[in-house]
Amino acid sequence: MQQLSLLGINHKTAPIELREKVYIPETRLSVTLAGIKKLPKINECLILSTCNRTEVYLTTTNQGQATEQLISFLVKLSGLGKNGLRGCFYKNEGLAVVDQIMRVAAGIDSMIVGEGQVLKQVKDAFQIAQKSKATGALLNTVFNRAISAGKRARAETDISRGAVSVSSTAVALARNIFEDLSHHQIMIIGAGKMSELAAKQLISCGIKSTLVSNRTFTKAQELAVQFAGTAVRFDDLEKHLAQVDIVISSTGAPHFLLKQEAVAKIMARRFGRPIFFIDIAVPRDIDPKVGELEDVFLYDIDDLGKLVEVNKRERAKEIPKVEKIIFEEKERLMKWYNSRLERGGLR
Amino acid sequence: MSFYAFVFLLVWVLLLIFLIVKYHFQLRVFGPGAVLLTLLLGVFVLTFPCAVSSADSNLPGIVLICHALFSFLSYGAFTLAFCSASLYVAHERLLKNKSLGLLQQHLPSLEALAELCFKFVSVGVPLLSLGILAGAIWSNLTYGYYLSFRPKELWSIFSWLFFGGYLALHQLAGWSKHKLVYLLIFGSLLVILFYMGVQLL
Repeated sequence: MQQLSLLGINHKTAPIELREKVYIPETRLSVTLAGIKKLPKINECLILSTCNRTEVYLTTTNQGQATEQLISFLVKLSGLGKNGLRGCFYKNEGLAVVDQIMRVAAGIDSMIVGEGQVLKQVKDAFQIAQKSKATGALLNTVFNRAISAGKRARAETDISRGAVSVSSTAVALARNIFEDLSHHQIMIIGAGKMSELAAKQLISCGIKSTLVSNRTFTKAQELAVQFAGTAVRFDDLEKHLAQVDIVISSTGAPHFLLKQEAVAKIMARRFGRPIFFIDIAVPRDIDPKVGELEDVFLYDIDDLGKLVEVNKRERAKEIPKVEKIIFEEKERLMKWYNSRLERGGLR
Repeated sequence: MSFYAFVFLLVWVLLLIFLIVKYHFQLRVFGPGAVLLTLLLGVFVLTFPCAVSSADSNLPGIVLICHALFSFLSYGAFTLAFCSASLYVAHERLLKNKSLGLLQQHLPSLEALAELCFKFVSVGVPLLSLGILAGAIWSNLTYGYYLSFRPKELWSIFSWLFFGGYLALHQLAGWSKHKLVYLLIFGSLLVILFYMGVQLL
């Protein structure tokens, strides 16, 4: 009789250096699926390969043999010696396989709990496997139920609510102040990885336009090209601050760039429009007293980090609710499975 | 109309407007707030004696109904403007104190809340104008004068001046949303206190 079986490697069992060796890019998936399906005793097959995991889902009549073959297949693929991946694999069978794929799809097996990317990856992996005719009735039903569990987890619980990265927290905060980001301008002061990330995310949310300022003007111009924005001179900073609504600052300046008095003057010229400062620089660019001014919202890197922690904890609290959904979906799957067995299917 | 009947009607008007707003703006957080407010008002009013004023049977009915209808819809709109303003203050405090949990994700943005205040007041002021006008016409038909400067009439006029003034400041003076919201809260509290005074003293 066909049995569900799983062999996998993920962020809990192996570091990135090993995971990347067995990573299978989307373009290679159907070839690899065909290779695995050719192995004896393997009936259906599906590969889920992301940056955090590579998992092979199977239906087989001989679990032991199938797993052995698969391990040597993956070891060969990795190019590492026989012992290179020792202890990295985990195996599951029967209902535990269903449990695992549902946890993955719902996002509670992820490094960042509740992340949204993984559900799409599961859907894509399923689609490719179906197209390659690698799956059959059992895996199809299991994955349909898993995707449904993933959707329900996100719709019915708060598992994917709340920003859990510094840049997405900055965007979430901006959205707490401004209703429609496409009506607002952003200014980036200084260059840095973190501010670039935050700026990119805000721009992808449809911010109206971008100004870039840097102590060296040519550097500002380079960044402006990257963000499709406008470079402005560092000396004109205060003039432009009267126009923009969101400021991301991350210069290497050893002292405060913006003091309370300067910002108070700027605020008087803004006619009560609120302004949101995101200070990612260490040491800080903006005097914390600036945040005491009316209609000024100031967040530094620690504030953002704390919010990320809070949101992560909030998400973790939702896990039991997600597990209940998974339980329900498993029950539905079992009903289907048992009725198929009675009718003599799944052989 | 007795105080009892007034608040009781207000509860129903609030629930009605709340339902419209909920489906129009898709605000999750408004639900519990509005229900709690109406519940509190309901319980509060039950502590008062249920005195039904003897309505004069030969009153020009349609004018009176218009007066009551428009007035009540406007009170409902002003109450919701007050709720939006309170949410603005709460949300702003959370943002300033950086004490944001999951709650903040359910709150509308500051900009949206300020806009909501303005929209509710802009609906409320014309309705109140119509209500006062109908009231004056009714008074003239019944007693032969438009205005008798009774406390309740003064209260209506004070409310009209205040909310009208808010609209004017919003459109013309370039005040910040923060200041306008605090003005709205302060003024609304005055209106409520004034009304309680009119009714109970």
